[in-house]
Amino acid sequence: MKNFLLTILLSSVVYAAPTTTTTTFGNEQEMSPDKYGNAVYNRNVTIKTDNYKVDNFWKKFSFGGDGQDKMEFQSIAKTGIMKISVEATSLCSLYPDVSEQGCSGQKPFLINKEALSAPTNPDGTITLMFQKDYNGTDILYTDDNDTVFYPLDVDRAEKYYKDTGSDKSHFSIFGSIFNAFFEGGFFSSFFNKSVVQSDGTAIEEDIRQKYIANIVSGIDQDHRLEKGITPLGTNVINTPVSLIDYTEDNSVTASGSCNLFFFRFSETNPMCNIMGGLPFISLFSSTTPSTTTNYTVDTIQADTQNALVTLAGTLAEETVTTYENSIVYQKTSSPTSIFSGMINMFKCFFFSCPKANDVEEPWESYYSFTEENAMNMTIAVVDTSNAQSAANKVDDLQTFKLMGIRNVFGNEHTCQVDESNYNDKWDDHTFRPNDDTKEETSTTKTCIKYWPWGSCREYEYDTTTATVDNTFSAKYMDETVQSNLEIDVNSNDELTPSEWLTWCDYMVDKYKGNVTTKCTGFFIFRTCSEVPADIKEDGYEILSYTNNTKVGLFIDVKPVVLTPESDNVFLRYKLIGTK
Amino acid sequence: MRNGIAAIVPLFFAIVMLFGFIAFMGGSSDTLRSVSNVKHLQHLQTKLFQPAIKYRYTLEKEARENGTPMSEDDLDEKVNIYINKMMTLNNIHE
Repeated sequence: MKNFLLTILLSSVVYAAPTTTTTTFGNEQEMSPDKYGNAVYNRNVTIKTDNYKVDNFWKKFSFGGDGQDKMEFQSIAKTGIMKISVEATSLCSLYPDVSEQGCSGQKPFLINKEALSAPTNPDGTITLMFQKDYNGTDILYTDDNDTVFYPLDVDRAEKYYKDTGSDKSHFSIFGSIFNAFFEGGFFSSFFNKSVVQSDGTAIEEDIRQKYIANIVSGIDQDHRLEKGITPLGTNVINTPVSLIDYTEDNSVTASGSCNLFFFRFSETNPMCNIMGGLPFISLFSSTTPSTTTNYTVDTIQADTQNALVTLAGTLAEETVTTYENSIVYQKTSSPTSIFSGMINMFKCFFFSCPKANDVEEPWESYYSFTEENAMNMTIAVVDTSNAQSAANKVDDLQTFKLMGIRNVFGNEHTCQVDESNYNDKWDDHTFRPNDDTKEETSTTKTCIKYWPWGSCREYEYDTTTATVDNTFSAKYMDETVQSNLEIDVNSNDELTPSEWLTWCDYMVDKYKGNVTTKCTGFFIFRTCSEVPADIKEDGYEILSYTNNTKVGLFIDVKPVVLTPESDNVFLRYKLIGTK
Repeated sequence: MRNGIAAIVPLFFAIVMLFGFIAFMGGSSDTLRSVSNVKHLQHLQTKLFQPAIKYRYTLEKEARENGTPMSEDDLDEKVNIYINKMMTLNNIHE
């Protein structure tokens, strides 16, 4: 205290200059990331006030009586060390009015450590597939998968996502951005859909709303995952913090309709045609097809996609029109993009790899972002090679830029028919769509040089190629069936593969109570189909039949270390010391 | 009587002490007051660290998003103006 008094007494100088304050900033100093995975920077701030004047009153009564009215201090300065936490994108970077406590850069996703060393695409991103239930069970977790991201259930004590009636609540903002991005009114049908576990067990909690809030706002401040601390259940489901899974509550009995999708496709979209009218179909699901025509929507995958697309699209100031018209729904039958290799991976995912060539033109919808407008997200990493951890806690948190969201649809439709009739003469064939025409080459020869005795010395060969219908005769097929199915319209008993497939679909549906399940491949490449047993009509026997449509969600992410100047970040400041 | 005069002595003594105290205060109280004001200023400076840095990053972000990035000097100058206003509001500047 004495020293302090002495200092200010010595620093007091009689000046008449105006009081000014100068603020200066030191350089940003990168520190190690904090336990929540945020990038941390320290920066000094110095505020220096010159010629600070303090009014004197009592000085007039001092012994000398010649005191000054004012006491002036030449310079009073203080330096603070500010800690700047750089949070990956959250709703709070878009809407400063919403409660900051409800936001963070953490998204409810988990990857294995191996994913960080996954093969990169030429643009430096890695492609991760959204994990969901396979074979009709809950999420299957493997501890060394390098291409999968898993959804997480993280508790948030029912805070910051309920409808509070306030315009500035998170709930209200969710409504604004979902309705702005999709068609108006989308939010109410989207956010309030009830869900069940994949085995049909009811879920009491509003698990779905919580999951969406954790994606859009980020996990709230009070429940953030902590490196090396947060317990993690990879062998349980829907228990914070653990893997999460749910599907739509009600089974849908109609055949495919695009109205079922949370993300609505136009009814005239070819996607709908693929989805519509197929007897064995699992929409948004890779579960074993049901023996009835019921199917359920795999809501968690649709939610993940819709929430990511909405937030990332809003941040990038993209609209759903961009998503629908310019990039999406490209038919990538012969992909020339840098991702062509990925298509094969998708095929393997959909239908076991050995059968990949049978998959008819996967449809890919793709939403891409630039380095500048990409959404950032911090996700949990588990390192099971770490014996102490053994998948029991979150080992690390890694921040990524979300460079792309892709949806891949694939349809496999084949039917192997054996015919035993006398006049058809083609024995056995596997029918596939897009196989209705074939190239037929015919060669004609004309004589251009003759020997003197009149016979031809040299011929000219002329080869012509024509596209003709690739048909297989069905001379013994019931005419009523043909008529009802609207196949063989010209009544020549010659059917194209597409028409044969229609016949197969009908027969399979007719005999659907009599099926056996056959599975091929293993784990994520495992695919099961229900094969009808003993379908034989009019001498045509179905030996094998496949009709699968699957939808996969993939994200392209790039590991990144954020800085306070990065785009799409939320900064939090804390004074950690002064000098 | 004698006793009554004697009673004035402590009174005089008290008055002398009071003047002495005022004179002392004239010299030292202002010093104490200055200490208090300087502490107040330093407290204010400490309070302004966060607004200053937040203002700087917000300006930087807005300028970048508007496609008109600002130089470090420009940013410093804007922050200076802002903090000076804060000082005026808090009666540090006149």
